[in-house]
Amino acid sequence: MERPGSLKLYIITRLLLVLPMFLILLTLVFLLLRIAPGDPVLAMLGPKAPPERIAELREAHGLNRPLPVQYFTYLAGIFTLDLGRSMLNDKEVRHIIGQSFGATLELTLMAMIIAMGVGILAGTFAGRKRDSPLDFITRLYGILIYSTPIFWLGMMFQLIFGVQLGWFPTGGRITPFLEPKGVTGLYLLDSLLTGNFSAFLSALHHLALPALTLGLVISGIFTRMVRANVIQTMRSDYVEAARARGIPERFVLWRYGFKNALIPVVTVMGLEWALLLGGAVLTETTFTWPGLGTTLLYYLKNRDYIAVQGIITFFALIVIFFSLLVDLINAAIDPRIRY
Amino acid sequence: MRWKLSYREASGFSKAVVWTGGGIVLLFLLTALLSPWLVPYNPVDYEENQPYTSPGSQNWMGTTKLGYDVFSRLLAGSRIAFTVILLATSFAMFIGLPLGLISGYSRGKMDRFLVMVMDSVYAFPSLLLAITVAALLGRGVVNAALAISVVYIPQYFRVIRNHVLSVREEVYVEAARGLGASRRIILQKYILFNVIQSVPVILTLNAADAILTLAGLGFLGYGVTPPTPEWGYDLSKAMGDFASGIWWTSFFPGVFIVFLTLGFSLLGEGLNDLLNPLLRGKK
Repeated sequence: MERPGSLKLYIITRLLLVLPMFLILLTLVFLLLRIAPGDPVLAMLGPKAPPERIAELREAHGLNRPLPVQYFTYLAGIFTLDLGRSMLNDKEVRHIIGQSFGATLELTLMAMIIAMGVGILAGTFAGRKRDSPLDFITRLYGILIYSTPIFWLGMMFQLIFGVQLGWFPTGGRITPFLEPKGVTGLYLLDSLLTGNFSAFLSALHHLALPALTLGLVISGIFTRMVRANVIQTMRSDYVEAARARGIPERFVLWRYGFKNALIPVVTVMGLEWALLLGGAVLTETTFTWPGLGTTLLYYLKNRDYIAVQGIITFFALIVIFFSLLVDLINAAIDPRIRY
Repeated sequence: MRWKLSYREASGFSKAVVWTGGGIVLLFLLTALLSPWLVPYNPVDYEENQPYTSPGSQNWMGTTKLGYDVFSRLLAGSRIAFTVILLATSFAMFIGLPLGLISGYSRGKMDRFLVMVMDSVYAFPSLLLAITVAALLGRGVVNAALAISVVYIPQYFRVIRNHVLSVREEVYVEAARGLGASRRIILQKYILFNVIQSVPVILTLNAADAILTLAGLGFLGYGVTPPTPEWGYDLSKAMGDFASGIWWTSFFPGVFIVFLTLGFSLLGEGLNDLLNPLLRGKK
């Protein structure tokens, strides 16, 4: 029997609590695609398709079976990592996801690094000197960048840095035929692992504008969050006590204020993944980035409900995974978070 | 009463924020209402102008590939934006508010179940949800509004429910219960009037977000039916233009989106400062 309040107990409870959320999300995805108006097979093949072709496709994808059977097949499939086959091209949905997820992961990871870098730097400096001109500019930046449509910012970057100045490519992931061989699907990592530096540079060159676009838009929230936290921590009693002991202000900020102000930021980071993945769809479309977002849009357009269901399920899995991960990190660094 | 008092106590900064935001929103609202009389050209007729005219006295913001007047389309687009926002936030409120009210007051099993469902929806990437719903429903003003509202229902639910949880323990609610007031009366007279104060803030902040979501849907081709003027759709049509140095078809629609979103954000932020005096930090 574990002691109440131990980290192990927290992890076990948290893992158990994820199951209902997981089930609810899966059920919602399933229902969403089933209550949509129109028959999925008809929608894909068009009204003039021969009836035998329609029946064949229904049979092949189990769409002629009763809904509860379809539901349990779907659930069982997820636990065996089988998301079905695309109605459009008969590819396995998990392979479709595997092919494009690397691109999305690379984009979102890089964007997250940029967002955190900008957010933590700007937020800390603004929070340290409250109501100074720098603080005002940072607050303005936070609210202005949050109000900017991600695809418009991307287009403006393309216009300025791609077309006018010619510094960066405006689309694609790498110069054709330079694609590195590798297992991770992250071009930056794969090219480094295989020692292919021209591929690495090309990948970085292509990644720069999309990652900057996505990262800057997300950075607004980080900036505001870090600023508010720094202000709050710098007013707390133990910081006051540190000051009273005569510790220099700079040291107080970095040693006492900064670290504690970052704990809530870890939580926000977990929530931001949802925003980041949503934003990635728009960024990928703007920069013709061959990621999961563009793939989802492709199958949505072709009304391939099986592939769409699989991809959305996968997105739900990532969101749950990151929220879980962040909670566990939080619990590990903050002993107050326990059941 | 409370509003007036809060306003008098508020800092100059929050007041300025509310007035700036409110002013921008009001300006766009007037534009939306008066757009049929303001537009210099017919926003859905491309035969009145030459294609790709650069900004000038004839066409203030230039014309598109087909010859639509950009300025006219942007003015008319504000009407669409307001229509969709109004519909989407109303849908979300009419579902999220009662659910949050009942869930928070009754607690128990149903409350726990609803919280879990709403949390799950809330955790899911909102734009992806809106895109999927919009793609399944098809294009159109009402459909776009429905797709957007799905995203905000959990937000109303959460805020209202949490507010109800704290209000239901107040002494005056206790007193009403003690006097034998029915559940309905308590909810309507004592709780609703209190929690409804959080609605303006959620409403304006959601409106800000909804503009971006609508533009995103339009950009991806799941917004309103073309050639209805909509800012996001116009931006998607401008994608191929700047390779040949044509910047006005993409620059101006974005500016409109940024300003209206900014207006709602500022209004929401400012209202939040005014209505939640606890957040108002003293220096």
